[in-house]
This record gives sequence, structure tokens and C-alpha cells, in this order.
Amino acid sequence: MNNIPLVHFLYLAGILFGIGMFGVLARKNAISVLMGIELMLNAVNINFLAFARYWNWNSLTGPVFVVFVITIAAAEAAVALAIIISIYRHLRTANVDDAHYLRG
Amino acid sequence: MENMIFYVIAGITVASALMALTVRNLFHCALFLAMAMFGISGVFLYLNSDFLASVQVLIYVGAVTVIIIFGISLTRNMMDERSKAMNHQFLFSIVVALLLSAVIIAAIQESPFVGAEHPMSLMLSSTTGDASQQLAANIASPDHPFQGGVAYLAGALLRPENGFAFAFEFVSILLLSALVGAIVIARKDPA
Amino acid sequence: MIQYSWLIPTLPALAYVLITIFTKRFKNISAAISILTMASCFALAVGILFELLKMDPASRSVTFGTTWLQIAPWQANVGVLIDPLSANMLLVVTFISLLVQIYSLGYMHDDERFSTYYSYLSLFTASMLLLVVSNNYLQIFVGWELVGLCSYLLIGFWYFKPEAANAAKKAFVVNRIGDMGFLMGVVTIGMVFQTFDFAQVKDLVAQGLANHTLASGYVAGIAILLFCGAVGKSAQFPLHVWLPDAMEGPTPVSALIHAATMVAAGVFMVARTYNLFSADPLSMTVVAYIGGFTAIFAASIALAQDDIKRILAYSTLSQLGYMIMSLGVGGYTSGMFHLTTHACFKALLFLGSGSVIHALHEQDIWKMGGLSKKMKITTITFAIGTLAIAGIPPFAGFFSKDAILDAVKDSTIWHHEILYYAAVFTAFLTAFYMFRLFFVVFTGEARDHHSFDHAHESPFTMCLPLVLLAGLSICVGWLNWPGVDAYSKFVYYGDLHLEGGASNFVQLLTQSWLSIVVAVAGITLSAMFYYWRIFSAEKMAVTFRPIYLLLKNKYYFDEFYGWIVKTFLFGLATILKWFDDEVVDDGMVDGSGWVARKMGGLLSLTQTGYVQNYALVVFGAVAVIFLLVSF
Repeated sequence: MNNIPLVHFLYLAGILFGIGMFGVLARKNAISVLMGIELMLNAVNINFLAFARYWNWNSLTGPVFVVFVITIAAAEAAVALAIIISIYRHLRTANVDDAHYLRG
Repeated sequence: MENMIFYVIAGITVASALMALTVRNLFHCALFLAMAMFGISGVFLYLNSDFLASVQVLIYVGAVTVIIIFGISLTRNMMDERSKAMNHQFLFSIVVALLLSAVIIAAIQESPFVGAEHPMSLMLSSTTGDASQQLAANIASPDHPFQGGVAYLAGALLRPENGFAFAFEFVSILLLSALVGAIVIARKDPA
Repeated sequence: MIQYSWLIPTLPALAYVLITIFTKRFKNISAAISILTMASCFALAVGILFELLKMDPASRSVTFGTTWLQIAPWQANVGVLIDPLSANMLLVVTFISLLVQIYSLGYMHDDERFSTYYSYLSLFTASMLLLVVSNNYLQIFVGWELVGLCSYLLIGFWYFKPEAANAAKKAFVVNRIGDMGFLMGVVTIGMVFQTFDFAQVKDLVAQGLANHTLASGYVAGIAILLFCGAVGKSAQFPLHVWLPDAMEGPTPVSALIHAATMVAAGVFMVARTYNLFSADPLSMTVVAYIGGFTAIFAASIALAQDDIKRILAYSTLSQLGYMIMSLGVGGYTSGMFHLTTHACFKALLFLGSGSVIHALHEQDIWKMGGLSKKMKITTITFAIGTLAIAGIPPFAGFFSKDAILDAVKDSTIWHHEILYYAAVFTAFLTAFYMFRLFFVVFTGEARDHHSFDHAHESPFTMCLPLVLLAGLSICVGWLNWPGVDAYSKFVYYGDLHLEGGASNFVQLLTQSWLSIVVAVAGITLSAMFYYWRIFSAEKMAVTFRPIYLLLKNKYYFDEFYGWIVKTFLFGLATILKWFDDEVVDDGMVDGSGWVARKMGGLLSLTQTGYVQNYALVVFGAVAVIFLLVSF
């Protein structure tokens, strides 16, 4: 058992979440946006495990949720890439900016 | 020493995450993302989750990053080296991201977790009798190490009495449909 | 018997429902239902009359009813008020309706919509009876409007004829103008007195006038509003234009409208609300002068008309003018008496003209002539009716018309002598134009031999009502045989007083020498023109061509109203159309659309179509909400 305080894990997760969010909001390329999303999901995973480790070790709910998150993230990545490729085929671009048909 | 390594890993993770989302070359981005994922798996080790750490490496570094690199390769000819990596709301994004991170960090600092290695001890001090004994039994300690092993995790997932068995099976169907959906979407002309 | 009086309007209404729903395909059953219900209503009316006669004269008024709906502080009741006035009207309405329905068996037997016709007749009579038995202003208004509706349906019964459809519309619209005033009057009563009940309003008015909390001018205002309705329904000047056009309906319907179910409603309503009218001389004067003017005005028009039914229509206008005038000068009994006698002889005249029309399929009197050789019963009965309306003793019209002249002569209203001479002159005109009609149609040589050869006496179902009505046209007046005065002792307003009346028949004749002289003079003059042909009507028409044209064209009232409608209504419509086009359409409708589009355009700026924009807003909002919640 190490003696790193819980809050340090939480800080790390918060910072990673912010970085991922920045990627989602600011990057032009759809694949980069996807990377940002993966990073945000991982930040959440760190939180799940940290609380599971420090809070209630008898309950395995935290790790179980991490398993689900990883699974769904993988599925999401696959579908997202399929969409990106589909958009690319139609628009000849993978920039999120260029797909704005819903502009009011 | 053990702690120092954690902070180094954390620093590398944050740095490579930043790089992954700011570098203009997408290929480099993917490699930095793989690096960040490695770092996160290291953090998982510090949380006594050996199995999940290896899963992290397998899935993110092995699978997701590879898929992303595939995606990059497939849309490669559009990667105009001179085009900007960021969109027009780049500055606002920095502001919002910093603001939200600041809010999160501030929230953590306001919380009772600060200064407590084991937050449960906070609750122990405020409870008495049987309830406090029960709580004490739940706190991870050298006598009761955190059950991060794969056997426990498998039990948690698959024992019906834990209630996750159905969700676990359901997720497999989700994965299957995502697989099919991805193929359908990405297929060339659906003749 | 009186406790069953609510059945009187209910039975014909039931007949209407039965015919409409069940027996439309079976002509005879429909007619039988309608006639049988009407006969039972007549029987009930007779029973009610006898029961009233048995009662003490001072307390001959029975009312009962139930709550229809309650909107505090108002309570709308539906109920029955049986007194001599309504008993009289019930008898007239049910009897005339019964005879008209029997007559229609013959007159309408070839019509395709025979059952519908009978259902309308039933509904028409039911509405009129509802109005007559009503014990409150609201119910009388309901009946009033239903009568208007039924008149529309029946005048426009042959709706495929454009004239009939137009006449029906005209009747409805003109009535609507009067009804507006009536409705305003009823609403005012509701607001002022908080009740619609006749008896309660009567008491409140009497109290208010006695302790000076209610100005009599105010009551006069209400009365004049109500009178607007009577002007429309009883076709008084200036809303008289619909009645002559109503001739487009089937002739029995004309008889019904003119004698019993429609135009009598106005007169009846004035009599029913007489306490409001008599509260102030102003309302009485208005009523009297409108009636008097209508009488002479319509009689003059009748001089120059060629259509047999139109002549009768104008004579109805004129006689209604008599009744209204009589009520206006305080001759309550004589007005109602004239209504009763007029119902008999006018129904007779209309049914007689219907018999002629049925025989010839022709309405222009100048294409008739010499019909007395072919149609004995029709001729004799028509002659009786003509004598009655001309006011020759001892026929019914003499008694009632003379009573009206007496009432006018004795009245105290403003310049009653003008009214008196107008009424006397009207009596002369009436005798003249009615005998003109009679001589031209029934005497002399046939003018159109083709239709004359086809002429035949009408079937039994049509002759029976004629004979019955002819008998009544002779006898009804005898109810007020001098010295007997049965009618005057039955129907009166306030306290009974029989003054100035003759005590025997000879005395009556000597007292009313003037009206007899003018009637005989009218008949003689008419005979000189149209029977002996001493004078030529054609030459007269040429000599006095402007006057002739004025009368022939009914003083150009239709054209005048048409001009008013064109000028003012269309002018108003043009202004409103401009308002609609420019302000409502361009300004408000297009404007609201413009505002919505511009707002949408403004808001659509937020819909950038950039996914990351949305995400930015979402995360920014989360941060802001966090901050707001924590501080």
C-alpha cells in the first residue's frame, strides 16, 4: 500500500478531463476530437478506481464500471471512426467544421 | 520512492495528453495518445488494479490507438500540413476548459477528501457502535487489502447475486451491434 | 285542463321530431301525425278557454314553470302563463294551423317534400305556441327566433326558385334587424330588473313608477326596443319589405304567416308587455303612429298591385297597422279583437287565393276573371272574406275595425285626430282595393281562356277550411255584439270598463255611420271601375302616371333599401376591406409572420451547425451552473 492521498488522483483526473475537453472543443479534425473524448473517459475511469480503492474495497462496483466504460469506449471508437470515414467519403474532408448542414 | 514514481508517471501522462491534443501532425497525436494511455495504466497500478491496468494497455494502446491510426491513414490525403489544427473557437475552448478544470479542482479542495488518506476514517469519527465497526471492516488496510484481483472482478461481474451479470451480457450485445453498425456505416456504396 | 297546457307547444314539436326522424318516407302518416297533434292542441285550447271562463274574472291568470338554467343573479325559467290573452291566441293559432294543415293536404299533395313541409308546419306552429304560452321574456325570445327560422324554411320551401330563396333570405335578414332591438330590450330588462318573469317585471315596474325610483322614460326606452322586434315580426314600416316577398312560399304558408303564426307574434308581444308600453305616452305615441302610418301606407300600395297574393299581403300590412295603432292608442281589447277576426278572414282570403292559384296556376289578376262561374264555393267564401275585411256589417271585420276607430277617436295621445282620419281613409282604401281584387278575379269575362278552361273547383280538403273560415268570418265579430260584449269582458288590460259602447245593434250602426259610409263608398267606386266599367282604370293610370308608378313600385322602398345597402354598407365594407387589407392583413398578419421570421432568423444564428459550438456552450453552461450553485 502506497500512501498517496486520494485527492492527488482526483486532481490528475480533473486535469486530464480538462485537457480532453479542450481537444473536443478546439480541434478541427474529427479524429482528434475522438481522441479528446477517449481522454475524458479515461479521466473518469481514474476517478472510479480511486474511489473504489480508497472508499469501499468490499464493493467492486468501481472496477466493474471501469470495465463497462472501457467496453463502451471501444464500441464508440469503432462507430465514430466508421462515421468519420463515411463523412470523409462524402465530403472529402474529416474536418468537423465542414459538416455543418444543420446551420440555421 | 514509490510516491515519486507516481508523480513522474502522472506528469508524463498529463504532458503527453497535452501534446496529443495540440500537435498538428495527427500521426504524432496518436502516438502521444498511446503514451498517455500507458501512463494511465500506470496510475491504475497505483490503484491496485493490475488487471484493469493490463486491459487498459491492451485495449487503448493496442486496439483504440491502432484503430485511430487506421482512420488517420484512411483519410490521409486530406491531411493538409499547412491547415490549422485548431478551429475558430480555439480561445473560447481554452477559457471553458480552464474554467471547468478550475471548478473541478476547487470542488475537490472544498471536499472532505482533502488531507485524508482514507476518507472512510472521516466517517468513522462521526459514527459509533455497530455501524462504525461495519464501516471499519470496509476500509482497505494491510489486513484487508484492496481486492483488485481478476478473480474478484470476474466474480463481481458474473455472479448473479451482484446484479451485474445481465448488464455484462447486454454489453456484449452492444459491442456486437456496434461492430455491425460500424461496418454498415463505413461500407462503400450500399448497392 | 290548464295543467296540461304545457302540452300545447310540446305536441307539435314532438310531431316535428317524429316526422323528421321516422316518417319522412310515408306522406300520409306524416300528414296524419301533424294534423292529429294540431287537432289535439286545438281541443286543449278549447278546454283551457272553458276552464278560464269558469274562473273568477279577476283571477284569470295561471302560471307555472320550472328552472331552465341559473346564472346568478339571473334565473332563466321555462314556463306557461295562461290568461285570457294567451288563451285567445292559443285558440286562434291552433285553429288556423289546423285548417291550414287540412287545406295543405289538397294544395301540396303533389309536392315531393310533402312530409318535410308538414314537419316545418308543425315546428312553425310549435314555435308560435311556445311564444304564446311563455311566462317570461327569455322564452318569448326563444319562440320568437324559432318562428323566424321556420318562416325562413317555409318561405324558401321551394328553394330551387331563386325568388323564393331570396325572399326567405330577405325575411330572415329584415327580421334580424328588428330582433336585434328585441334582444337588446330583453337584455336591458334582465339587467335592470334581474328577472325575466312577466309578472315580476310588471310588479317591479309598477313599484318603481309608484315610488319614483324608475323614470317612465326609461321604461319607454325598453318598450321601444321591444317594439323594434314587433316592427320586424309584424312587418310594420320601415321593416315591412319582407312580408310581400314572403309570397314566394306555398300559399297555405302565407295564410299561416299572415293569419296566425308569424305577424301576429309582434302584436301579441306588444299586448303581452303592455304594462311597459303604457308606462309612458312616448312609447304609446311611437307605437300608434307607426301603426297608423303603416296602415295607410300599405293600403295605398295595395291599390296598384297586380299579383293576387301581393294585394293580400299589403292588406295584411295595413290591417296589422290597425292592430298596432289600436294598441298604441290604448285600445288593447280592440287590437286583440281585430287580430282574432283578421286571423279568420285573412286566412280565408289567402286560402281562397290559394284555391284560385291551384286552379289556374296563375297569380296575375289580369289573367283571371269570371271565375265565379267555375268555382262557386271559392267565390262565395272569398266574397265573405272581402266583405269582412272591408268592414261591412254584420261581418266580423266591421265590429273589430269599428272598435279600433272608436278607440282612436277617444284616445288622448298627441294629435289623435290625424290618426283617426288616416284610419278612416285606410278603411276606404281597403274596401276599394279588396273589391277591385274581387271584381277582377271573379266577375266579368275570362281574360285567359286557356287557363280558364282548365279551372275547376278545389278538392274537399281545400273547400272545408274555406267554408269553416267563411262561417267564422261572419260570426266571430258577434262575440262583441253590442250589449253582449263577450270578448271585451274576456280580454282586457287593467280594469274592465265598457264605456261609449252601443247598447244594441241599431245604435252601433248609427254611431259608426262614417266607417260604413266609407266602406260602401269604396266598394261603389271599385264597382264603377272594375264591375260596371263606368270609369277606366287604365286611363286613370295614364293620367296619374307618376302616382301610379310610385304605388306600383311600392314607393321604391326596395330600391331605397338597396341603395342604402349599396352606398352605406358597401361603403363601410370598402373601408373595412381597406382596413383588413392594409392593417389586418399587411400589418398584423404579415407583421406577425415577419416578426416570427425575424425572431427565427435571429435565433437561428445560434444554430451554427458546428457541433463543437454546441459542445462549447454545454460545457461552458456546466461551469457557469457549478459556479452559480456553489456561490
